[in-house]
Amino acid sequence: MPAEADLVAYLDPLVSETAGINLFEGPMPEAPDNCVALTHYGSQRSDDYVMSASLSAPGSELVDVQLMVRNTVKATAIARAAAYHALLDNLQSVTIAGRSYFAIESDGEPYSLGQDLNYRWRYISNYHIRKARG
Amino acid sequence: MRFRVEVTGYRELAEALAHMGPNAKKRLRPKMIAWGERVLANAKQLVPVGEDDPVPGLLRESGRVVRPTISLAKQKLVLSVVFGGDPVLRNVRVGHRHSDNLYALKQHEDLTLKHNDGQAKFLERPFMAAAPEFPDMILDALDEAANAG
Repeated sequence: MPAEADLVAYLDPLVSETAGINLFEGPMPEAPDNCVALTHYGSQRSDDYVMSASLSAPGSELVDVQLMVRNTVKATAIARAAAYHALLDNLQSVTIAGRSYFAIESDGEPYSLGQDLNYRWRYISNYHIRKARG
Repeated sequence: MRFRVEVTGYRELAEALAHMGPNAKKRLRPKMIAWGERVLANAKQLVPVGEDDPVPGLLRESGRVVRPTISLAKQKLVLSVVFGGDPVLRNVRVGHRHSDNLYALKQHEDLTLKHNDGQAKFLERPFMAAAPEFPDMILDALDEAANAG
C-alpha cells in the first residue's frame, strides 16, 4: 500500500476528519471545500544499508508526502494543519498496516499557499519518511 | 522558491580548508557553482510554463544559482538554487488576491495544479537527486587543491 494510504489509515482515528469523506489520499479533490489530503510525490533510494549485508538492497526506503489542508476559514485551516503537524512531525517507530515506519520528519511548520480560485485557504507541509520497503 | 544545501559544523573540513588557504576556496567555489548549475539546468526542464501564466517562461528564466558562501570561521558552506523572487515579483500580477508574492511557491508546491508543460516540485526533485553528489564534489575539490598545493 502506498505511504499516503498508510498515513490516511493511521490518522483517521486520531483526527476529526474521516477517511473518504474529508480526509483523502491525494491529490486533493475539488470538493468538499474543507478537507485534508496526503499526496505521495516522491521516492528516493535509501542509503541505509545497516540492516542488511552491504551488498544487499537497503531495508528501508525514503518517501516524500505532502499534507494539504483546505478550509474556507483561514484560522481553521491553520489550526487543522497544526494538529496534523503535531501528529506526524518527528513520529518514530510506528507500525502502520503491518509496515514499519522508522521516522517521519517535516521540513518545518505548515505554511500558506494562499487562497485558491474559490477563495479557500490552503496550508501545506512536506514530510520525509523512512519506512520499510514494500 | 529556494533550495539550499548547507554543510556546517565539520571541524575537519574547516581545518582542511584553512590549512590549504585561499587555494582551497578557489577550487571549491567553482565546483559548488557547477553543481548548482547542473541542478538548475535539470530544474529548468521541469519548470511549468503554462499558456495561462501571466508572463509565460518568466518563472523558468528567473532560476539562478546564488554565489556560494564559504565561511571558515563558521565552518559552513552554503549554496542556494533559487526560482522566483524579485525577477518574478516585478512582472507578475496573478490577478488573485494574496497570491502575488506566492507565485513561484504555488507553482512549486501546489500538487493540484495541472500543467501542460512542466510540473510541481520542479526544483526539489533535481536538487534531492543531486544532493548525494555534494560531499564527493567537496572532497574532489579538496583533493585537487591539495595536489596543486
